[in-house]
Amino acid sequence: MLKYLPFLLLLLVIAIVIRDDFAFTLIYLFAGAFAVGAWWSTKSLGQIEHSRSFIEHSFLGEKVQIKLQFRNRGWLPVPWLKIQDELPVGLSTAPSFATVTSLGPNAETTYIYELEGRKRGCYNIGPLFLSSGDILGLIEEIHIQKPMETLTIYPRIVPIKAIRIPSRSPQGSLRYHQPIFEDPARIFSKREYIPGDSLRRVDWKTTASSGKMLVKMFEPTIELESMIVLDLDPNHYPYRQQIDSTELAIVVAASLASWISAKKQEVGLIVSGRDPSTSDGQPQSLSPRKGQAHLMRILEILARAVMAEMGELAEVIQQERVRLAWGTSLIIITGQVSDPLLNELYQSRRAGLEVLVILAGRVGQIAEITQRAAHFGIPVISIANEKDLEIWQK
Amino acid sequence: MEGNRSAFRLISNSLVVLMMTCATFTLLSLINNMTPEWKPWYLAGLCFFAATERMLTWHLFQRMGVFSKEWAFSFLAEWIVIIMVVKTSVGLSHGGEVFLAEIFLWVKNFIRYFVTLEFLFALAMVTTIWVISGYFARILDEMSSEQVYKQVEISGETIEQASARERLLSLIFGTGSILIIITALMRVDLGELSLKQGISLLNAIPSLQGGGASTVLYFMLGLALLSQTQLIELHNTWSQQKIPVSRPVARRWTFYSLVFLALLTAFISIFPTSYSLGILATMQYIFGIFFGILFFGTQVIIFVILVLLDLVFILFGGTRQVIRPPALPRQLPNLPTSIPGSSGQAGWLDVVKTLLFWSIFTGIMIFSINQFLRQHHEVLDAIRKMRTTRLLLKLWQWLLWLGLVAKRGIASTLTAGTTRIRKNGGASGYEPGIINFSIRLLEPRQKVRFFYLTLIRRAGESGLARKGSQTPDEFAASMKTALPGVDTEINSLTGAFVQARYSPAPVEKESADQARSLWNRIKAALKRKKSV
Repeated sequence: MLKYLPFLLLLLVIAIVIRDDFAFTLIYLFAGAFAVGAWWSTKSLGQIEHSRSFIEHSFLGEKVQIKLQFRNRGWLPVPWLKIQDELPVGLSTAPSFATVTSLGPNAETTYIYELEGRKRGCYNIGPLFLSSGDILGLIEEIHIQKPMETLTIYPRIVPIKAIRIPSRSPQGSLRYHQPIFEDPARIFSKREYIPGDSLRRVDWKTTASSGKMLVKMFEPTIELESMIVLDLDPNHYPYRQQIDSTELAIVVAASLASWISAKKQEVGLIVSGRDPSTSDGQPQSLSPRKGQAHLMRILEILARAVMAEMGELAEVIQQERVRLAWGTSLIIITGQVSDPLLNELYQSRRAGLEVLVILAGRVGQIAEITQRAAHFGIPVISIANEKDLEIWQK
Repeated sequence: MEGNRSAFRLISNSLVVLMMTCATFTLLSLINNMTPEWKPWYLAGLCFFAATERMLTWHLFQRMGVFSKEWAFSFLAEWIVIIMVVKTSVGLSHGGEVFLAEIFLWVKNFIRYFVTLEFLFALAMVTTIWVISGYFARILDEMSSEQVYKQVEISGETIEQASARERLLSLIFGTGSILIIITALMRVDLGELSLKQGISLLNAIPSLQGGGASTVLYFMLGLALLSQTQLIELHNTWSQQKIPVSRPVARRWTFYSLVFLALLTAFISIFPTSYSLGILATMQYIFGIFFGILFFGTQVIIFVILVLLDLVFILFGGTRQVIRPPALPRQLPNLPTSIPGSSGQAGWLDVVKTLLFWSIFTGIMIFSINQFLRQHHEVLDAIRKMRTTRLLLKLWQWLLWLGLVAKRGIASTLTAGTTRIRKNGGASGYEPGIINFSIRLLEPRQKVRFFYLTLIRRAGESGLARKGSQTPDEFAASMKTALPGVDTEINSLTGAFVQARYSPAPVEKESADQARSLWNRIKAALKRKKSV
């Protein structure tokens, strides 16, 4: 408009001096073009209703379909509407989804595009920019911005068939190889009475019907209440493999949590790292609980967690283990086992917790670490890469 | 998109040709105005031909190298044709026989009979239109070839040339400005310029004649051209950004442009464009009517009051007064006279029209300026930073602050007064419902109590507050200690109060008057104590 100011001033001067109709007609023409154009473009853009719909949580490798719907709820047509939806770099090759369309009165249009969940994390979809302008180009383009939404890609979960996680919680619902804890509610067999058997074990009904004295055999079970402690301090992993190793650690944690939850056991999570979505950057610690919803919360935290220097893992364990019930299995996923950590784990065992250490990544001197840990009665499993997870699939 | 580009070229070229023709008509109107005996309207056809030819052949010439052999031959041939067409048109405008006779004269003296003044003028006009059309053709060609910005090298520096569309805008408005000046010149009677007498110099040319219509049409076509070029520029931008464009955009664009222009046409045809009165004279007339109505209304109210008072007077035995009702004004205020140059005394319709015109005109200007400032914040910021603006803002803030202080002062004064009245009303034992706006209306008993309670209040304000447990005599004793010079007065007023408050015996008027004088003396003593 600034460019046309001298022209309008000339018109105004001529109009005032000669007071002729044609000059005012021209002033009306240009002022009207400007006014009608500004009104049309502002009002028509304000009439646009939009919605973005997609499944906000997805697993690694899945395709996420994002649907954009636009509706012109007014009677003014929109000559041109530029739609630009910013996309996260990690999920898309293009920086944004963009298109230009025209919407008539009460018209609707829908656009669908896909994103591939290539990498775990929390990604921002948007913001969505809508731009429009007038037909003549006298007014500058008008832009409105719609807010972002978040898409969470869960980490990869490797299906686990069997894994021996030590537990001291008696009488659970999980069959266990050590016949220390027998569950009197689970009778799996009967045999003949041998002198020395407790009379409480005698199955009187069967004895009466069979004429022989038979005793009940109870199934040994445990309650597998577990707390997964995930270490994402890059200093605890081999220097050149920090990213791969920590990602592997997250995959292991997710897979374990999923398996334990599938067994209808309680599982919790402590992450020694950073969560960008929380106000203080600290990932939320989850106490052991059962259920699919709890597993989803665990996966959410694992999706968002990133590496951060957090100091000694032993201190974290020391603070958190006081809240754990006796018999809880403490599963430590880390890249190194220092002396303070070993000491803390030993103290945890003495406090009644069972401990399992999983070393993620290509850790040096595994044999030495395993031997040292064994001295304290702490089993150590090494997972150098995702292929090693196959040991749990047998 | 290719289909769109072909359609764009066709529509744009047609619009340019029509615009040039309109421009020609404006110029010819001026010529006709200056030399009414010459009818140069055939030149419009010539210019139409020249503009069309230039728009169509520009691309052909672009493909040839400038000043190459091919280019030179083509250029020469083109201009020979143009010159022949111009000469033929000029000749035929005087009649076929005249032209034929003239042809034979070319053999005798070619320069004299071929190169006439009229021919030269026509050729100059055609050349001008041809050159301007060439500029349009170049810009439109740039736009259709997806060039958004161009970098040119001047004196070794690379600068960004203004986009094709900006140059197009400059060309349209530049040419249009000249047409406006030409049209304006036609409204001024240059032959009758007389400054001494101050006679209006304006010709009474009907609005759409004298180049008005062609100039307005030129701009309407210019807007249509802007609409087309806006689409192409947007397409170029989106294409560079690799943004796909749906087909309905281009398909509906022309329709929406026509709707927009139709809206504009309706807009400019509805609003008034002429006025014969000055704004101040019109405002004066409107205010005159308003104050007349106000005055008449006041007269009616006064009349009603007087009638009622007269009735009351009659009830008390007075004689009836003659009260005449207010008369309606016989005539409205004089209509303002027209400004010089208009036609005679203006009617009330002219007043309405003038008022409507200025309202709408001002409204449009304010809206446009508002929209402009909203889109150019830097201008608003610059205005805010100006010294005058800052001073005016400071002045405005100071006035606001003054108003606020005054408001608070008034509010606090009223609150304090109301609180004081309420407090006194509750503590003094006044019968509820008494509004003490005049002591004279009180009975003697109430007067005595009033003065005593005023004493208590004023004593409290002077630091001699009465305790709730004190009897009147105990309070009197404390007052006498503090105000030694008025012992008798304090005792007398206390005694009068006790009698008025607790005794059923009647209180005479003299007691009330005495209580007043006692109180006045005690009040003076309190003031003396306060001042000390």
